[in-house]
Amino acid sequence: MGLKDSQLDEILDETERMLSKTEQYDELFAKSIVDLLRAKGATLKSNEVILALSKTEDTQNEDS
Amino acid sequence: MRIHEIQIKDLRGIRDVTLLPSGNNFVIWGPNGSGKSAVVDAIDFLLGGSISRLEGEGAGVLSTAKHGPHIDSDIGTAEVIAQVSLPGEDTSLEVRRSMSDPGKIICPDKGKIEALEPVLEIASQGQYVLARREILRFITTTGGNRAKWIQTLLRLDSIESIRKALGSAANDAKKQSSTANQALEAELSRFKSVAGIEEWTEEKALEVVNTARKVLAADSIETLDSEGIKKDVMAQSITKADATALRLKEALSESIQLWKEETTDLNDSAKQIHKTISFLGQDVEALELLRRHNLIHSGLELLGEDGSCPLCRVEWEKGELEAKLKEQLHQSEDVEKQRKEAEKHISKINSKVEDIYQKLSQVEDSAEKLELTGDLSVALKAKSELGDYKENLKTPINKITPLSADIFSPPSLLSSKDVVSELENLHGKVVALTPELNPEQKAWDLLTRLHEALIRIQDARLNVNLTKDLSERAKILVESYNHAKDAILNSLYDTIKERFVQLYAQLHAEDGEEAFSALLEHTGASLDFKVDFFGRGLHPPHALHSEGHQDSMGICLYLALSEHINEGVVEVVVLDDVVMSVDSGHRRRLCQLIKEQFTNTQFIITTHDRAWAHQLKTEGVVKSNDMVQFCGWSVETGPRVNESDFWERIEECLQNDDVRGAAGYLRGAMEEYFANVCESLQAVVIYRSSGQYTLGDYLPAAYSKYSELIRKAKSSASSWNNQEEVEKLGETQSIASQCYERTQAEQWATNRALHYDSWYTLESADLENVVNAFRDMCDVFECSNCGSLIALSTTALTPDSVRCACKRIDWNLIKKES
Repeated sequence: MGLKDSQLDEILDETERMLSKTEQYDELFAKSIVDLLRAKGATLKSNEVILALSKTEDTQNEDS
Repeated sequence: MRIHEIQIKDLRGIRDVTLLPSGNNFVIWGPNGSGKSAVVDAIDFLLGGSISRLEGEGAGVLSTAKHGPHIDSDIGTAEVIAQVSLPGEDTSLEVRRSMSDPGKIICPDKGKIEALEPVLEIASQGQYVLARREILRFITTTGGNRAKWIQTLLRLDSIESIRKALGSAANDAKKQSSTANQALEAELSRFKSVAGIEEWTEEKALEVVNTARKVLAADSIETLDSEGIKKDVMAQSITKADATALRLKEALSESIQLWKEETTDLNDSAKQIHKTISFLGQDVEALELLRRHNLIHSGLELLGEDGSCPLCRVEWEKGELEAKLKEQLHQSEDVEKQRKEAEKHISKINSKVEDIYQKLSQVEDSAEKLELTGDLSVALKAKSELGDYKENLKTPINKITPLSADIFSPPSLLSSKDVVSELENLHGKVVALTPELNPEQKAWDLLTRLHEALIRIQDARLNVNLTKDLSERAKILVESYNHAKDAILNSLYDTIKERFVQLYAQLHAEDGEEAFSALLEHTGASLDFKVDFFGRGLHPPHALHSEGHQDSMGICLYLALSEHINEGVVEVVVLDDVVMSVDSGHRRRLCQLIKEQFTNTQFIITTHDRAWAHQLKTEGVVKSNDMVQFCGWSVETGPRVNESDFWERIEECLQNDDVRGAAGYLRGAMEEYFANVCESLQAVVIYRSSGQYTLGDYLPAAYSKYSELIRKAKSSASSWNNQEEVEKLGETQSIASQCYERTQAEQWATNRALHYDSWYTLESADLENVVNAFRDMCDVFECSNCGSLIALSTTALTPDSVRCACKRIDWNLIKKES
């Protein structure tokens, strides 16, 4: 595993852990958002984040 | 991965050169313009598929494809072929890359491709080359640029890209939330207008609804929602056209009233504000002060405790920057007051303009449905002007220019009587069209309109809640990510900093910088780098240290980073002429650093400096057969590669009866050699203010120190009753003495050959004796095993031993305590 991957993975794992502790995110939601960051990496766009964060609990459940 | 052999064909300034680093450290030395850097470019191209210096920052119109091949060659012939070994493997494999297909690396050994790929992936980043121009990127740059550069070097740029995307998302979400709030305000305003109430409260709205419901014999409702507003109400018959005409009539009445009551005052206020802003717009200095006011204000709040600039981290004398900013803030106070006053007026104007605009929009909506817009040409033009004007009013005053101040001039139709007369004409026409409604119909129509308005309010509220949640989530996401990023990157930077401090302290241990410390801290998008200056606190690296120290800082930081960059996979580090400002003593310690701290790294070092090249050999960083000299470059042939050391070159001259050439080589080489010996043994050379030293200064000093040290070593061995060592040292001393005498006896020949016209009288055989004498003399100071020079080692300024790099020679100088 390259340095890039290991550092980014650590940051994303920690971000997921921190998010899931907040009222606004549950574990599933935190994971889905951080998975998006993992998948997109450097190509991540603001509108993709907005779209993922806009999903209500209902739509998340539908998706899952 | 290590490089064992590299063949470079038709690339940059090289026609065809094969080098044999054999997986070891390797030195390429030669004058400027001899093609050394083309080797660096070739390695870069082989591993990455492009030449960084032709593609990177500042390369402009240059490109690998256009400027990579040799100027006289075809792109098809330019290629690099190498034998490399993979980590943990003894055997080497061939890899090649051609300029005609730079994206593809060819490895004939198909079975190795899988193992090669991850290595090439890391190598392809091209971060294993350090040139002097890169050193400056670490040292004399801003925190933001340093972070960018080091993150690129460590391939952490995706972390930064994600940070930016999340930051943008948080800002976008905040804007969406703000827009949703404004939309809700607008819908509440529309409801108030329909209900005819001044202020929005649920009680007042319910009162209006229940009054209408009472007319329609329905019970009062207690909560205001779109579902309940018309519940249990008997529907009344009103055609759509009648309802629309009714609304148009009301909208026209209200528009006429507004226009008559408000526009005169509004026009006067708009003219006044235009005048104020035009006046401000002419004052370039005032505008400049305005633009910087907020920045200065924030700057004062964010001033570092040490007085450093919060923007660029430049150090200021304590209180100096604060006083300067306060003075500028004071200068901008008057103009800032004018700005605030103007913005207050603009806000009032904007609110009135918005009211008139909304009312005209309602007129337009209904008129459109009744196909009456043809009767509203002037009013609709006025509406369009008002629309532009309200947009212009949003322009921040500090963004205006002398030319743009006119966007604040009031719309031309605001003072026109034509608008009101047109609205009145249409009103008359609509009154004639509108049927007289009975109270029940009026109540029903009101409830219908309130119902529609309430649905829009509910939608707007839902959107407000959604966007508020979105904004909060985005904020938490960006905060969590940044917190995690700072913690993890700072931990990484801490490790790098510790290593940097260790390397720099070792390199400068004799400069009184043993207690050297540094700070490498990541905050937001910046990377602060500060270093201790002789115990006087932390300062930017280029603030107080000399250029040579800055260069060695850059090298140490790069070497500390290189351990993370290459991940133990790409074991190659290329140092491209990086010690230009580093003096001989520190170069020697850099040699020790490379030898001791980077045993698993293959250094490929280029230099124009013969002394440094020689020092790398005598200090044991490279062996004689792992260095080549580039010389005699021409565009047609590329560099001439001289792989022999100076003894071989002297022999070559002697074989060709070139006595003067041989003597010249010998003299030059021996001066460099014994200068290094003096440094290595800490011998005392008689000082000359001219700084011009000759072999006659170095050799006696070196031999004298050698004799002193060997005497001390014998005395020490004797104190430990180590008779065998005493005898061995005695023999070594005797050989050294004989060698020295021979050099003294023969020295006239080299001097004569160089400085007297009678050199041509010497025969090759005469000089050969001289050469042999010096060759034997050199052997006295070298280890026959590792080839390095012997060096004096001290502890707390007390000499404790004389050793070679491999410690086969190891004289103890410390006597047994009696």
